[in-house]
Amino acid sequence: MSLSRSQTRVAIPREGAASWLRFGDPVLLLAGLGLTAFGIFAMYVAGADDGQSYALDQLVGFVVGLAVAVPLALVDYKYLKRYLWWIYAAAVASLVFVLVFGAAAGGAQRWIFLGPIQVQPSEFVKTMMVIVLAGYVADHYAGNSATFLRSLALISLPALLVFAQPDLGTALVFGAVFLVVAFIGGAKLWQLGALLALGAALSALAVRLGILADYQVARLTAFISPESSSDYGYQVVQSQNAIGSGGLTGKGLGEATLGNLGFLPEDQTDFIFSNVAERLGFVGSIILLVLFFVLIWRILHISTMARDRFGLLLAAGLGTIFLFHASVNLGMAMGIMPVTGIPLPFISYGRSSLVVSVISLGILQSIAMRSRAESSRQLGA
Amino acid sequence: MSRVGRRRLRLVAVAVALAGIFLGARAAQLSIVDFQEFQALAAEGAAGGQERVEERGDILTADGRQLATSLPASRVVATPYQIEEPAEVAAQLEDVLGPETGMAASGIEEKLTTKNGSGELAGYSPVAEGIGPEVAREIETLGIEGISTDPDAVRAYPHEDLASQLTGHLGGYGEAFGGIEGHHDKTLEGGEDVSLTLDAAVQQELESSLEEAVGENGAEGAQGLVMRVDDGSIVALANSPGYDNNNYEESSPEEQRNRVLTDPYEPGSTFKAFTLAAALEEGSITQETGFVVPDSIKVADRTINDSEEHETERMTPEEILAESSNVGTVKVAQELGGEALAEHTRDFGFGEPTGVDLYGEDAGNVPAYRDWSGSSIGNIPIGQGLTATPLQLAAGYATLANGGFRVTPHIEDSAGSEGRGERVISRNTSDIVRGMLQTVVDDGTGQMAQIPGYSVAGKTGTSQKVDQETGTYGGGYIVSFAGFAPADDPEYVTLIVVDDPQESIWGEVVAAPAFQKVMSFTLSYSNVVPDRPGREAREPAQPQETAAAGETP
Repeated sequence: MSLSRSQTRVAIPREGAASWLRFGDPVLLLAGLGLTAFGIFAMYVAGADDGQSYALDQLVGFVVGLAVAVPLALVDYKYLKRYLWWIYAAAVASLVFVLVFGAAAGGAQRWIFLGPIQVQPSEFVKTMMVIVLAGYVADHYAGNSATFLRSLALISLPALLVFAQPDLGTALVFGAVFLVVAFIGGAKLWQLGALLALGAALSALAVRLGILADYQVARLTAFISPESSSDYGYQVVQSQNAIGSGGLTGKGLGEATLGNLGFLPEDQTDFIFSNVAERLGFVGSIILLVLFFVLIWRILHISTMARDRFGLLLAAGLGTIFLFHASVNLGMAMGIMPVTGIPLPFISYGRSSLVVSVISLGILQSIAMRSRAESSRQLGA
Repeated sequence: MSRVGRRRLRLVAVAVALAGIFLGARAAQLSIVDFQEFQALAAEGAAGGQERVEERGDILTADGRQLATSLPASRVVATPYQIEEPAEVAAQLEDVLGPETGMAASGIEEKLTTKNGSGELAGYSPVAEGIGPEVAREIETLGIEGISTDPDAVRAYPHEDLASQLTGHLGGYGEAFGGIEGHHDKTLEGGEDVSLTLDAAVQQELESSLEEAVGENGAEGAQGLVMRVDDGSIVALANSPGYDNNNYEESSPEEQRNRVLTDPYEPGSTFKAFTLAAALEEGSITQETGFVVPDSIKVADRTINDSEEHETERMTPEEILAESSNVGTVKVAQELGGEALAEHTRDFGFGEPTGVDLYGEDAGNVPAYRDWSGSSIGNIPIGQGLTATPLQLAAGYATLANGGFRVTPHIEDSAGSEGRGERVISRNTSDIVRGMLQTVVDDGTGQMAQIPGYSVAGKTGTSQKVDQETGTYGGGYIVSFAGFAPADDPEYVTLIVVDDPQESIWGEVVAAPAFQKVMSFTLSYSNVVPDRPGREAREPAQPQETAAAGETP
């Protein structure tokens, strides 16, 4: 995978095209659109009798996301850095608000109601925290232990608030984002190693002291021996049955499947992939995987092209969110990762998640445009 | 700009590529390599697990009775958004379904108006399951729009609460819980029947005797089993109170547990037979060795008493066992030595699962010799400070009875399975202990166990209940009787364990009568030739009088 070679054959702007189209990243745009379309289609087929309303909900999410993403793409992402602390305050405040007033759903407090709209702030906070962390580490050398610890403290607060909801999966996303941003930001390997060791020790302690609820531990370990009769093991087994029984080309769109008979748990949210794979088979799975990895490849590409440290770290952090979500969710559905209940971006039902994904792509386009505009200027175009 | 950053970014890219390849490979493995297997599984699942239930094999007793079987049935399904007048339809359905299911119109109406996730009327709502064919036909003839019947099947347990914990239960989605349903799930699922060594008649007798023992003694519960001494095949195994697998949801998890193998207890005096067998086997004592037995003995910081005061007397091992003397047994153990006792205890199978073909077996807790305290030699020989499941104890008694061979208890009747294992004591030792245990019943603390026409061997036991949570003694006692018959050429071993009796704590009063009933039924039912024809059982004396040297309380 070549990430930086294209730096030398950067697109020379053509006459006539609007500037943002000239400099934006068309591959990223297409991958994002493709995933969104795939997601809406998945809702339509997986939702059975209610498919239409699910699909419509997702479409609304896409439009709302677009309404924010387009202006963000056109504005220089560097402006975000000026509002770093406002963003951080808003992120933490929204999480505190959820904990205090949030509506309980499925055993966890994750949602708040803004009038008729249900919003899941933790979805937004993930992206906000990437901005904050990238902004902070961009101006400080992460290899410096004080900086390392300060940035760790910075992300730990929202991570703990999310963990308290309790939403272990999303809390782990913060961990992954920190590791990648700190790694690229120059953190020493021993610092990261020590952090991982500390994390492992704390997890062991959390299990021992019962801080992790029984259902969380049961979910995390269910994939190791799914045949034991716990509910989560049942989810894992049924999910693999669904994927495997799809075969090469799937059972077709209208056929009776484990999904529409109610055998698949959370069949429009966490286990949407199993549902889609059962109907569309290996071919469908691979199309989805390719779309995801093209998306992530382009994001990393944009990261290497970024004109400054902030852009580089911001792009890498946003890419981490997509990578972590996609790998953990797909891995879970295929029985090789713990059941952590985090959504598949663009595909799982959930407007908050879709809106945030689209917004992230807007920010990434902004990074792409500035870097190319800058490269073009340097080339004297 | 950071060079390090860009170089590291490349490493991240490699990690990403690996993740992608890994996920792709897994997808290929699931949907291409394992496709056939999953398709079969999914077909079963898509049939709602019903085909599995319909074709599931029966669980049969040795005398051919069905403990579990599958019956054809129907399921009534509603499509709520097609139903115009839910209240009216519910009333119609109540007329038909009410008598069989006890469902009321209000409950039915609720199912006819089920909403989906977005608050609209749903497209699918099961109304009733396991409906008999006639009622299903009636519903079909009503011809209500939005109501249909699907073929279904139900798992039925014709003998209701007979051997309930042993049989286990098949739940929704065709998932098996516990017992034979659980352990032999694959076989049954494949449509094959599972035949047991269990005899329904003996099982019935055991269950009614346990129930009686619980009732008469105001006990919390009782467990028991009957096993062949030669190969460990289980003829009856019961936990009282039982429950009805047809109404599984109404029973508590405590009732569903097969305590015979899941709940270890301190065996108390029933364990003394093993101490004596070990000492005889090692040659530390002979049948003639005389012991001077006071009514108490000091071991380390503890004083061990016999249950009743008595003069210091001279006792043979046989008398020690017949009168269940704690002090005498401890003296025998001191002669043998703790290390040898610990070793023989393991040899008899204590402290490890018996290997029975059922899930959930507990290993019991037998302290290793290196973990013994100074006073261990004062309590382990008399069955305290170690725990065993009723199944382990019965298997140990089978070894004492069958000439010294370990047995692996089993419930499935599979031809060719060898239940008899290695020899752990000599035939000679076995013979001597058999004789001693017969004396217990003939002349000692076990006279209530006598059976007219047969020689019987056995031993009473009483111990304090160990609180499973804290590992300390809680309130209450466990009273048991373990024995076998005919004593000269044993066929069956039977163990009765009564949990927390209120009326008495004497094994002879609480547990021996149930033993006597079950064993005498088993012997005559299975046509075992009486080995003492003409000899009547002695009119049982009052236990307090016979317990001369005193039984362990």
